Amino acid sequence: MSKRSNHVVPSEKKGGWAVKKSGSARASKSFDKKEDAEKYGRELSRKEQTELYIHKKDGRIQERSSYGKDPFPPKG
Amino acid sequence: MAKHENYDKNVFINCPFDDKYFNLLQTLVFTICYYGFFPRISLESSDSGQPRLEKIVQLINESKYSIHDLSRLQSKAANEYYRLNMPFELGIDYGLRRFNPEFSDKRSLILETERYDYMKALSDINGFDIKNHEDIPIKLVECVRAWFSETLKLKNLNGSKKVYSDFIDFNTELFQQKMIKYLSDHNTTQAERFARNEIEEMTIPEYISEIQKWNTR
Repeated sequence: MSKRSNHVVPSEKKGGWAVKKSGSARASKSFDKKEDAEKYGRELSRKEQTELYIHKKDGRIQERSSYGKDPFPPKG
Repeated sequence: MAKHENYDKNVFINCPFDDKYFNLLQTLVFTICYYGFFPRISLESSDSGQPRLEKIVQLINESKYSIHDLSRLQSKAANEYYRLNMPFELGIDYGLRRFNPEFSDKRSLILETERYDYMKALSDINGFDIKNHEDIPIKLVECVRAWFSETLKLKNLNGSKKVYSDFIDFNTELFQQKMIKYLSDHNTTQAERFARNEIEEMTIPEYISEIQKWNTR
């Protein structure tokens, strides 16, 4: 089974952002600024060697980064 | 007059169509679909021969339920007009329910950004079911979930945190599916870019159709 990815998503606080694991309703950590959530998400994903998905406020994907064995490796 | 075949499941969405509200609209349509209902919105069809108001009246007529988001009643900048379409459409919906006994079963939820903002602009609706979401997506899910429970009397509903977590998973899976589609002919970076672009350009009916597919997977 593949590792659970990390996600930067809007938090419950106005203007706030959080990092959470896929399939989890609970945030790992919350931040006032999106850039701080992204920084933490990258560090965490690097440590866990997994993927990081940064979402926009509407939920759609803004960016994907892979820090482990990429499930979507480049061709060739 | 016969009602629309999905009348009991249709939820008419009356909301602003500005960029900022689009941040919430995706969450709103997802939540409605998640609980087994059909979001109906004027963006769902673009028949240039049908006047906009006629289209809205038709949607109101076909929907037992409605969600009216009045969060743009207040202008935020100098020379910006406050928006009158939403209260006008709420009035049409209320009028149909109030004056046509066939539609007395209609139920509606009124949303606003900050609590009691509506009192400053539309105090006549005092006493209606009004909830505020502070422009925060998960709070919007909470409002809709509470309304489904309190007004529609639905039982055993998943909580708002679970719904929002599933919304995030849905968006991730949608992106991955689109990426896989482009990976057969492109490298990872290009596939990611094309996937993002395809999702950005999705119309609301396309997005709803993807949610419905995900719901029945």
